[in-house]
Amino acid sequence: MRIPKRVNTVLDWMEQHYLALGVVVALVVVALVATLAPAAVGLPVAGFVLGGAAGGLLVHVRLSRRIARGRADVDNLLRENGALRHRNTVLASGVITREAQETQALVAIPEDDLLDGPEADPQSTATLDELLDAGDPQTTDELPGPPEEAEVPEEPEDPAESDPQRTTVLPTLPDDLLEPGGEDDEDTARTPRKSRRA
Amino acid sequence: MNPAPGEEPRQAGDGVNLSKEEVDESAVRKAVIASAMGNCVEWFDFGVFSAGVMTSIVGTVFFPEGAAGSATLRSFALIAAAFLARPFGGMFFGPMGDKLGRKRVLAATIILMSGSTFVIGILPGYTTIGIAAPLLLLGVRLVQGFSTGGEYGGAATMIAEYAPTNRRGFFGAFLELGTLSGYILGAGLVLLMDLALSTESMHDWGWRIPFMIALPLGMVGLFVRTRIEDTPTFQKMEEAGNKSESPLRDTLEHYWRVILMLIGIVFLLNVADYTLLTFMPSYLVDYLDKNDTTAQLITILVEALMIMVILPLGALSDRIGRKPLLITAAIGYIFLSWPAFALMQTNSALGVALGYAIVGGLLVLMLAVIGATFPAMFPTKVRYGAFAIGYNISTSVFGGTVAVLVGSLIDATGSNYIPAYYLMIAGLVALYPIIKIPETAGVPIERAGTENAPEPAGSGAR
Repeated sequence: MRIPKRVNTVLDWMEQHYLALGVVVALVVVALVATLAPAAVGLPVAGFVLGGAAGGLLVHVRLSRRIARGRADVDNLLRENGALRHRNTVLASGVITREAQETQALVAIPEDDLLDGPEADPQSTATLDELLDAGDPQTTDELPGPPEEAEVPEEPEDPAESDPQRTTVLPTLPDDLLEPGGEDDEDTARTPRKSRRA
Repeated sequence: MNPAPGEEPRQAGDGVNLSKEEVDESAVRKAVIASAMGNCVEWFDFGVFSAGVMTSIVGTVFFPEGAAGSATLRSFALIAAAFLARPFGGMFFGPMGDKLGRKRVLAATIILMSGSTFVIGILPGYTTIGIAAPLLLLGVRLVQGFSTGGEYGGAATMIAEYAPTNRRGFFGAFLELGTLSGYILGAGLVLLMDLALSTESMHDWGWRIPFMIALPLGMVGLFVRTRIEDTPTFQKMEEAGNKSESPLRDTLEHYWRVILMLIGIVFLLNVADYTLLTFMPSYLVDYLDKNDTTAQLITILVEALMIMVILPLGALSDRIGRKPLLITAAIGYIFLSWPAFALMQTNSALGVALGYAIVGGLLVLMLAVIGATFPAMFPTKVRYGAFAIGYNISTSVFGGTVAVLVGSLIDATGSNYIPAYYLMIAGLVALYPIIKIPETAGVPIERAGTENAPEPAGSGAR
């Protein structure tokens, strides 16, 4: 036969508080015995004893709930403490964490070509001056400044270059870039260097 | 409470570390003994003066032969004089204790109390110094009452402010343990001497001995009080600069409601206490035809039983709260006072014992917790004064008049149940403030009595 859930809950509760309930039952018996005395004495005594039993049970139940709450809080804190200790132990032991492995997977950006110049200083901030046509390589302004009047031959004004709103600075490619035999040709697969013997 | 980083914990005079709740146990014990001794001296004097044989001797030695009224009545008048002076003592010593510190004032009160009791023992009688005898006796009784007015409030405050929060109920119960012990010592000593000495010797010189013993008792209490520092709570308040500029004005202006609630609860306490101690012995003799020795022995026995349970009840209040015990006592007096006196009318030893046990048993429920409850009703800056004023007004008005009022009403109505009705009325009056006051078990004493006092922790009272 299956015990209904509510009845089971009540039975569990009674099992948890069997001692207090035992005292209540004993007090009820005392109250019943007191009623055997003359009514002037017995009834007030019985009433007082029953009231005391009810009040005592109420105090006991409240105290039990408070203690259960306190124990649950303590358990939670212990669990959290244990988890923190475990993490602390792992970190302190030098085991590389997952985050550290991911960091090592990133490709290192080579920085050697920026340090070839005569004034190269490992501590300085290298500027990408080879990308700029003119102007002070130390400036941070990406947009090219106005061309110098005496030295720079006038070139037909390219509307794109004079546009102040332009945000990209693309190098102007030399015309003979794609022609073979240039002095600055690199010996690449596309532009094989001519032999100097000839 | 915790010291600031890098700062060492504050030290008291005898090396007590006052950080957080780690008050030295030995300092707490010294404070408890110091406070309880004062209460012991106070009730020792009361036990001696109100003992049946002593009232008739004092009423004869210090008054001319053929003086109006009975010797007992004259002694009761002298007892009443001490009660009249108590509220003034409370108003004088209480605010002083909030301003100057508990320790200094308590040293003064115990000197005055034990000294004035001793003086009664060495005062010449009427036959030696004539009319000066009753006048000097009256003056001494007024000084006694005046000093007593500052004693109980300070003693309870000292224990409450020294005790650890989670054991304030247990240590507070020692105060009333001092009360019961003092009364038993005083009444018991008079009884012993009365049985050991002849009537003539007792009348000639024997009656002086118990009064003179009060002085060494008081000196012991004074010695212990000078060996402790002032309470940690008062010291912290002093260092923080939170002392009230005018504690008396603060008390009467902002805490008069709480004082009224205190008066209501102390009404029941005093009616029950003085019914049991002053009225019951004469009730047994005058109305139930018991002899004087039997009446005194029954009273002493009931008080001894109360001593056995008062400390465990105080410890219990730390677990379940103060209010369950106070509510039980109030409801008990409402429902069980009449049955208790009905049992006493049965003229059987068992009936008398049961009736006495009911009154005493309900009283001990209150006595066990008041040492911790009453000081926690007020904040630190006015605690001593507010408590002393409220407690002593109630004691003076209701405690000192119980025997006279109830005796007069019995004579007027012919009903032996008058004490029961008075107890029932007192229970009804006290029930409302008992329910209204906040539960303070588990609440730190520095924050008890304030508007933002925290909820009690760990007690099942809520």
